[in-house]
Amino acid sequence: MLALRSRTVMPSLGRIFESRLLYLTMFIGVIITIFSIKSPYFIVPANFLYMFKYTGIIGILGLGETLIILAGGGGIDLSVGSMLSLSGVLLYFLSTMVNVWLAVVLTVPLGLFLGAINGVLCTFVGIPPFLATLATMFAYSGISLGITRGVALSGFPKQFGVLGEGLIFGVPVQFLVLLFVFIPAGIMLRLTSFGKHIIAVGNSEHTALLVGISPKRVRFVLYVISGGLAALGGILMDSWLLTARPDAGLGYELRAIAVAILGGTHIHGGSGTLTGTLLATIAITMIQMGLQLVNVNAVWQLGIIGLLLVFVAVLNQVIGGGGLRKLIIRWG
Amino acid sequence: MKRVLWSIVLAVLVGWAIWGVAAERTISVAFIPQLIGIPYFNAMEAGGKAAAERFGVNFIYQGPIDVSAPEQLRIFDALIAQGVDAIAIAVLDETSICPAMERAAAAGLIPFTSDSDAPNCPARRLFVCQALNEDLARAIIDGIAIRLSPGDPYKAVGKIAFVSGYPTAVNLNTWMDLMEEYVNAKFPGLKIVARRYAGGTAAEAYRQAMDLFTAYPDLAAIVGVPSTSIPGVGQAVEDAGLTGKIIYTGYGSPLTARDYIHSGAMTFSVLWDPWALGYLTVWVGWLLAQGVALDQIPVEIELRVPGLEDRPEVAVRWIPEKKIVLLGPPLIITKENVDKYDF
Repeated sequence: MLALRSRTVMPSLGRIFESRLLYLTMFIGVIITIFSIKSPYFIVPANFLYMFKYTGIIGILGLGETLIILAGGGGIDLSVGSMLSLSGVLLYFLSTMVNVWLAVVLTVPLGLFLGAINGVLCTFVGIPPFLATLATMFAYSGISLGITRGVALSGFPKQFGVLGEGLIFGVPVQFLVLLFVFIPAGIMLRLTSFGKHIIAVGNSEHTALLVGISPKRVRFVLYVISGGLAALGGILMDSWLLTARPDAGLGYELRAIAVAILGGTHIHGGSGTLTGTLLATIAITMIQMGLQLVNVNAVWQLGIIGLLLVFVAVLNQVIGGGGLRKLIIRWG
Repeated sequence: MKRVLWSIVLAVLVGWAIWGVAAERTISVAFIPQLIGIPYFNAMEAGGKAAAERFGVNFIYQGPIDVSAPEQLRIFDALIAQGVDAIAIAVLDETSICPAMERAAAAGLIPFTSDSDAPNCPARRLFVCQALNEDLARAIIDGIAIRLSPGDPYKAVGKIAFVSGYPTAVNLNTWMDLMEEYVNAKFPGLKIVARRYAGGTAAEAYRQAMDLFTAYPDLAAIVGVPSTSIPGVGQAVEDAGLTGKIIYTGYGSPLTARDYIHSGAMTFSVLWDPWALGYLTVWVGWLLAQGVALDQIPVEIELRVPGLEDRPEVAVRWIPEKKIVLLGPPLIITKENVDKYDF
């Protein structure tokens, strides 16, 4: 087996993915070990499961971000945090008019619509995604601040809190919602032709065009999906806080990008896995929660996650340049 | 595979070495500020630390790096998981923190509020209050009146204008309403002529103040309501050549007000002592955690807090109707004492 592998000049893309997932799993193992030793509260089942509540919103946004980045062409969605805030605020206004659960159902198409605006700007109008979504990031956040006059709106019925706060057999509903969107998305990416189109477009726009795939159409759909996911994030956030805050999604766009990159999605698209994003979300959440449990200052928590991202970026560079190739072959 | 295993072992050892081995059991009191890294909450932290040292408390100070209710919740949840004895929080958002407070109470922890309250949350045991809004409003108006009419302040005559922050800030609006009520009730010669809103920027406060000076050339006093308005209005007073001719006051921290108080542009400032507030918060948490049911005392009483005797303007009281531990009357900051504080 070993002899066979050392003959491989380049590890297949699949091999890099798998090694990435292996690293992430081991990394989570290391995190769990360190924090269990350091804090007696980390591995307590009730706490440990409770922690997964904090994966929900970041993971859902990270999923949309991963898909957009995967499809290449400089794809990125900086507006996910603002879309989250705006959908959350719209949900509040809807809930004052109709039953809250109906309002929840109506919020998702609103999110899809916000995403569609991004999609049109980035694909059919042709503004670079970084600029287009930067613009909508300010626009959406401005609208939510404007229509609320900057005030947090509360008054959701208490039973609405079940999505954000609820537990089923000790497992947070937020995490179940996360799995509920990740599993179909994973199947879509791996098994459907649309999933293959995403990867194809991300790898080479030109080739995709030649075989009759429209990169614009694929990317447009992904921006729409990202808007819908952001709305789902907004619903969870409202349910969790029982308050619609016009600034609820502030900073979430960067966290969403961070989990996508940490999960091994290549920033120029074409390679990456949803499992990677999911594991990265869990890893980052555990680190933050663990650092919180040992009372590390929030500034340092961010610093440590920043360092981690630098490390991953360097790792990506090294893998891309082939520096670690031999190691991967030997270890794999 | 061996190397991977070794690197895991190494990582674990390094992690252990960095954080050291954990603690023995003492009473722990946590305080979650609205955000960390600003002088105001730094002062509260310093006060809390001093109390922790004096009473042998393990004091945990953890807060978000920007004003974020979800982050406060995350920190609150982590503190519940750690099983600290008492958690004090400067509430950002009452509805979102209330269920967490209930969880804390159910887990046998003592949740209470400090600096900013959640009055409608039944799980909150009490509120450590810096100063009553009524007292804060009176301090400004009394200070203006006595300077306008030193003999009999109630005969003071003059126009007063406010430069507030955001029009939606509840605390600022409350203060302005209370000041206006107090003026209308007690000072027939005083008149509130304008309420301007500067948002959060000094530049806008400057513009609004200049505008007021033009609109009301005979303005007797101008009030910079939030700390964010203080530098802008102060600069405007200086630039308009009104230093010493107009009474300029507001709720400005000594650090923001210092330059203008020294130059004479600002007459006096009203706030409270966050160091003492932080100290009081930890003391209250320490008492509650030992089972002293401070919140069950049915009558209003004075509380003697060891270590706060020498702080000016501190007169701690328990007010049962509102379930408040009150720090004392507002702190009046003038040229004489402005350099004593660093918040």
